Amino acid sequence: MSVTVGERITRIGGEAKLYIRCDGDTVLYGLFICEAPVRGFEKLLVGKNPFFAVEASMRICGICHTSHGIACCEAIEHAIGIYPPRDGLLLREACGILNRIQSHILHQFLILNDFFKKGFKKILLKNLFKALEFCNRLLSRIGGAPTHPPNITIGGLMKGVPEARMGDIQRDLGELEKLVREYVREFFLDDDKLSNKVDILREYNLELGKVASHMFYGDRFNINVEEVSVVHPMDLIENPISEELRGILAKSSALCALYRGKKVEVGPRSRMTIYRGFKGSTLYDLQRARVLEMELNIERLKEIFNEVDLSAPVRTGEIPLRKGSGIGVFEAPRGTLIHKVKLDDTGHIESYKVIVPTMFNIPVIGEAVRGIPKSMASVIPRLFDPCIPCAVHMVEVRT
Amino acid sequence: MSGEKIKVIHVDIGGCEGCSVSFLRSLPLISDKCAAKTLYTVDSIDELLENDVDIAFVSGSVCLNDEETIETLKSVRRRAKILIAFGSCASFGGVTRFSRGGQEPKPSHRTFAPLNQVVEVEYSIPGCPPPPQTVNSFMIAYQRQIVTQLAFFSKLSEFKKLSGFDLIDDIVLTGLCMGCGACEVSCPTGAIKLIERRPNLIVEKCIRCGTCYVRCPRAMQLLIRGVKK
Repeated sequence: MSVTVGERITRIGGEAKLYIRCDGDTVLYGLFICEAPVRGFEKLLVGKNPFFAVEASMRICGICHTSHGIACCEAIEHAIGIYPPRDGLLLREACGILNRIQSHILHQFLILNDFFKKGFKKILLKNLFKALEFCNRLLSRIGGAPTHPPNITIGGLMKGVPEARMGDIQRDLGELEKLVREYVREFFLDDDKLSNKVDILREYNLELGKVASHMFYGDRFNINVEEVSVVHPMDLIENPISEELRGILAKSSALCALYRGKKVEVGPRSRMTIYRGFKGSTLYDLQRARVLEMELNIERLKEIFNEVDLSAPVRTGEIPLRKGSGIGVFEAPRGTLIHKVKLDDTGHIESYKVIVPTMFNIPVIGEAVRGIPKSMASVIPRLFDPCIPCAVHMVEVRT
Repeated sequence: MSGEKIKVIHVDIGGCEGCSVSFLRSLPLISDKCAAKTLYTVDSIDELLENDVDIAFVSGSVCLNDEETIETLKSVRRRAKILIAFGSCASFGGVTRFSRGGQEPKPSHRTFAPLNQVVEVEYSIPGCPPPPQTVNSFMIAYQRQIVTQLAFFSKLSEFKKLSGFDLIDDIVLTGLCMGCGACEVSCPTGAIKLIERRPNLIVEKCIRCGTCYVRCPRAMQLLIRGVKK
């Protein structure tokens, strides 16, 4: 068995390595190990005011910031027993959806080199930047900023959207829709433009259980949070572990999440499969589902902007911070995101727990690389768009 | 400008990726001034870390309990003529200043510090995250050697902490505040509200990014003139 240490890979949202063991040119198994420093947000929040928790949890991630903010607000609202007004919730949902589209557009940047034949990248890149800017503008107009939007708060939204701004919002959304249709759908789903690597991705299937709580927002009643278990990657290895493997696994700075004790896929394909009857189990379908989801998200945004009453309140009048515990679930760009909070007698945070979608997808990436050609191994983590702060190395493991 | 373009890289050493995305967004703005690479655009990490560069933008605070991160930062320092702390975590520690460790699977990761606590930093560009336009204005200032603007970023690199608390202590409580509201507008979390034209800090919302201090015209006048804080 040849052992080469080496090819290091980039273009994912995080600092992680892919360790693979091969038989000839075929990958036998892979381990996706995150090695970024642990900033320890769960411990950092203990003793703090819940309003700080919203701001801090948005800084867990600079790509899915709004999703963390919303999940945190949902958990705290659940704990103190309040519910935001309808229009606040609708606008908050709009922020979450914009964050999802924003993240999906960023993901297109990362997979460009793998997905396209030469000659298409330049025009696509230019227009993806344009689409991203429209998306950022929309999120700024509703959420207050394109990254870590400060309007997301406990009880709804800090500020509503002025009636006068709606024209700009509708216009920007129209432009965004046009760009997504012309440069995401028309490119990513057009066989003539896609590279050979995509043909290979179409040949390999990944059929694992799927979990999603909602198509657009997130619903704690659609999944049983109690059945989510968090384990160290070391605990997922069934065979006896060699010393080298133990050394690799010990480096992991991320834990893995299982649902009902099993590895499950979360993300766009899970949402599309569960709520829209999407069919497709190949690795390429992960990307196809993401593109189709972007279009659906834009449709939902249009619905929201037609439904929302801009003169109605967007935030609960009274926010009583008190003892309680709550769960917030939101469908982040990469899948189901769970925040759990416990507040003490004074309403301060007693304990905090975050289960991010990538924790579900880390073991799934390991499954997805099984049996694929070695040259393709580096592409697989990117398909799942893992969110870990940024370099993936691929190293073969000795037995 | 003739000759080779300025070589620029962006490296993240454990931030939230917000600064990385902001830098990526700045690429269309700065592509005429420099050849910039980020982890989002290169095929191999060696392209970023194995070559000498003119300017390295580094985001994320440095985990003092993680040798690899410190080593990466030092190697970037060795290869870059100019190192810029990009974003509040890299400049002043930001929200990671609150970190206390104890979290699985790496409970030993306890202390996060700004870059200038470990290596020499020429300029700091704080913000959570700094907008892409700031990268552009820095690059213009650097290319044209606009001394006043560069002096501003250079002065910021001397600080290891700046936050809303410093703004209240140094500017508001000393009576220097003129009530312009720049701090309120710039705060990324809405932690500052003007009451009777004087900033009031909602302490539970301050994430110690220092943006308010940097945007305060009075604070900056004092700092650039060299008044000791």
